[in-house]
Amino acid sequence: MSLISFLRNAAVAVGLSLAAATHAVAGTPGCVGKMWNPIGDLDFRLMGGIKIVGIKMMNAPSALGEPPNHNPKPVCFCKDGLQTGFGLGLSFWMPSYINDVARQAGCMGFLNGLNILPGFMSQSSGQEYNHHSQAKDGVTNMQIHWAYADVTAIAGKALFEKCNAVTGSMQIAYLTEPDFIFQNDVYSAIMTPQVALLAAVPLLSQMTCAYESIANTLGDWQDWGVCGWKGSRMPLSGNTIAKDSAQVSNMDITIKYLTRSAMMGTTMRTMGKDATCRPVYSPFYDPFQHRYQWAYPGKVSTRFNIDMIRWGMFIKDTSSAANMMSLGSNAGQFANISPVNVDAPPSGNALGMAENLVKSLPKPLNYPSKEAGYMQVWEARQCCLMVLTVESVIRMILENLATMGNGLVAELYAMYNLVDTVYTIVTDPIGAALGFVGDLIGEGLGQLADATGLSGTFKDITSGIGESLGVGS
Amino acid sequence: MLSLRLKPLVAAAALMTAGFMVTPTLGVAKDLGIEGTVYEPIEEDFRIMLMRLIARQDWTQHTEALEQSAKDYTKNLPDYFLPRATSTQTIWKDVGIVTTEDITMPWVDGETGSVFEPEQVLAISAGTYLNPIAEMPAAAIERLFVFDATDPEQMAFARELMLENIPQLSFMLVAGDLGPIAKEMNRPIYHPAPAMLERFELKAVPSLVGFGKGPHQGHMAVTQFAMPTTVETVKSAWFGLAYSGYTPDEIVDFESVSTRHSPETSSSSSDAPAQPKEPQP
Repeated sequence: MSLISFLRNAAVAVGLSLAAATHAVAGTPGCVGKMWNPIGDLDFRLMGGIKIVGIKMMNAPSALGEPPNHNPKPVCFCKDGLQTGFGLGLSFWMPSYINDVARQAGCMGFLNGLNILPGFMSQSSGQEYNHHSQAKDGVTNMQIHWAYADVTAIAGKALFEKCNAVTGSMQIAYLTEPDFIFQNDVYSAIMTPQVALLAAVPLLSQMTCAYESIANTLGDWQDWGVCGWKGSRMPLSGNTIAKDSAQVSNMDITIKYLTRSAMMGTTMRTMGKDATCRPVYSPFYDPFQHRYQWAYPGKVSTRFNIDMIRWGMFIKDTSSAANMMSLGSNAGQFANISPVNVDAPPSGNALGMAENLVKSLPKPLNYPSKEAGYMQVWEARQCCLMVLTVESVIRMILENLATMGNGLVAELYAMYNLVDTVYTIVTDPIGAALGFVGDLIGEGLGQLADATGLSGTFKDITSGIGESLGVGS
Repeated sequence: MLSLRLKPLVAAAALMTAGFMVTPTLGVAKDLGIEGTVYEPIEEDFRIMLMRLIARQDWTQHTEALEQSAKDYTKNLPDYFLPRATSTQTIWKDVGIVTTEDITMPWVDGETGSVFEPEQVLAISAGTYLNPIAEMPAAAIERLFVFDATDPEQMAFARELMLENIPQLSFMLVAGDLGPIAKEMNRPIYHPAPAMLERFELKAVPSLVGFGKGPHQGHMAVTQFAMPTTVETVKSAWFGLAYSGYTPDEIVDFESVSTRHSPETSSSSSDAPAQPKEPQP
């Protein structure tokens, strides 16, 4: 792509963004928002983390990393009618959903501030716009507006249809307002009584979530299935303890929603070897299969249970106390204090220093609790990129019969040998190096498959055979 | 076509490097340099390509579809046509569970442990009875009146109940469009989430989800009402309908009970009341 055409497209994108921004104050009274705009809202760096046959093609954003489970079979076999066949494992990320975490019930922030549930006003949240004051923790309830928005699949249909990743739909998937279970902790506990397990061992539960948060913030991939961002994931309702910040509260509620959605079968597991061919049902939500990217008014990204201090752009140095120089100086004074020395408990001085340190941390901006704040949720996807299917074999046989040639039979046999070789190579322990060979073979296979394409007449014949066999393509 | 393939020469260079690394001889690592010509990828950056594709797309129809699906959301919610209740009776259900295996949770020793390799400690042993509402005052839990909005008689009665503004009473329909009703009554009207009807023993409508006390502490009381019924009848089912041996009006709320109950059970209590379980010391 030339620089000029890139700039031209960028100018179009900016123009569209501005056009959308002029409507930012529209909407029904008390419900404001901005119209969702895929051109301006997406942060395409989150696409990073593409692998084929286990070979890295595009690095994941360093702050987010690549989940270890995002790892399809290098050479895969999938059953799907005439599309049954062998392929190469591909892993990638797609901006699949819009998540609008709403303070005001019924208010669709990403649809220009459209209030579709005027009778639900009593459910609106009292969430504060900024950081909660210390010792003033309270319960926050928020509503989730979840929408299917497979942006790249719609735009790049030809790219993704080979991966069965094309839904083509843009629609509201779920609104939590009419869901009584989501509004009420007790009913939620009755629905998922395992909450009583955590209630029986409250200290242990809290410690579990503290360990998990620390480990993940330091780059690990821990999920014990019971934690939200910093506190408990249970009950699976729209309520959470607002002990940290509005952003963390909103992420807590998002995780609660998705955990329940997985139980109900509306969120499928998209990572793991068993999900190579297609997403699979799992009642256990894997929170690492999503990357959360605030779309408006700023672009900030995170993944499950990373402390907000690592999110980045939300942090704003707003007060005189929040001075990064003094922060560094204060932190330096802790160098000689051991956090695990039980014989020498922290002195009053040390505790005072710790308090000053916490106070001088820059305060976060609170984009997400504004009605116009919404996020794009990127989903880890996997695909068996087909190179040899039943359909292509039938086509080759038909062509061979039609032309009475014999060269294709030999090619078919050679192709079988190639697939077998690829499989052997990739399962070899030195696969990291030999994977390159697999890629070259894959390329060769692709070219071979393309070379055996059929004319329209024979396509009709294969379709007829498919129908007579009762298998759909 | 995905532009993900590597140039053959780059692959060859990588193979050479990998071969050097696995050679089982001692030696000193050094840069072998580059053999041959290294080509810059000629394919367009995948991200740029997608941005270009997205910018070319006309999104008006998609955003309109999104907006329309929001406006039609309540209209398109599924209807569950439950039968009309033929008798007024309470179904009792113990909402507790019994763990079938030991449950462990992570623990990190403060001095020697690591959050990256936590130890496992036993949190709950197998066979433990757990009930999330066992130690909760029954009166504090919200009640839910469930009805079929497509049945005019039930709808009219639900309206009557709503106008009573009974504290702690919410409304959920199983069929019909909740949007216009919520707007007209200016209050939330709910819709059952998947699996809720089964979990809450909602088998006929109209019904009231209530909660018992005393011997029924920790139990859910789902009362079905034969139509026509009255507001007073609904109120009388707040803690489940009374029967011989269970008169909720005479029982003080939230009596402490043991967590050792039998597993989840379900029984009917109006015509043939179940024997309430005795609280264990």
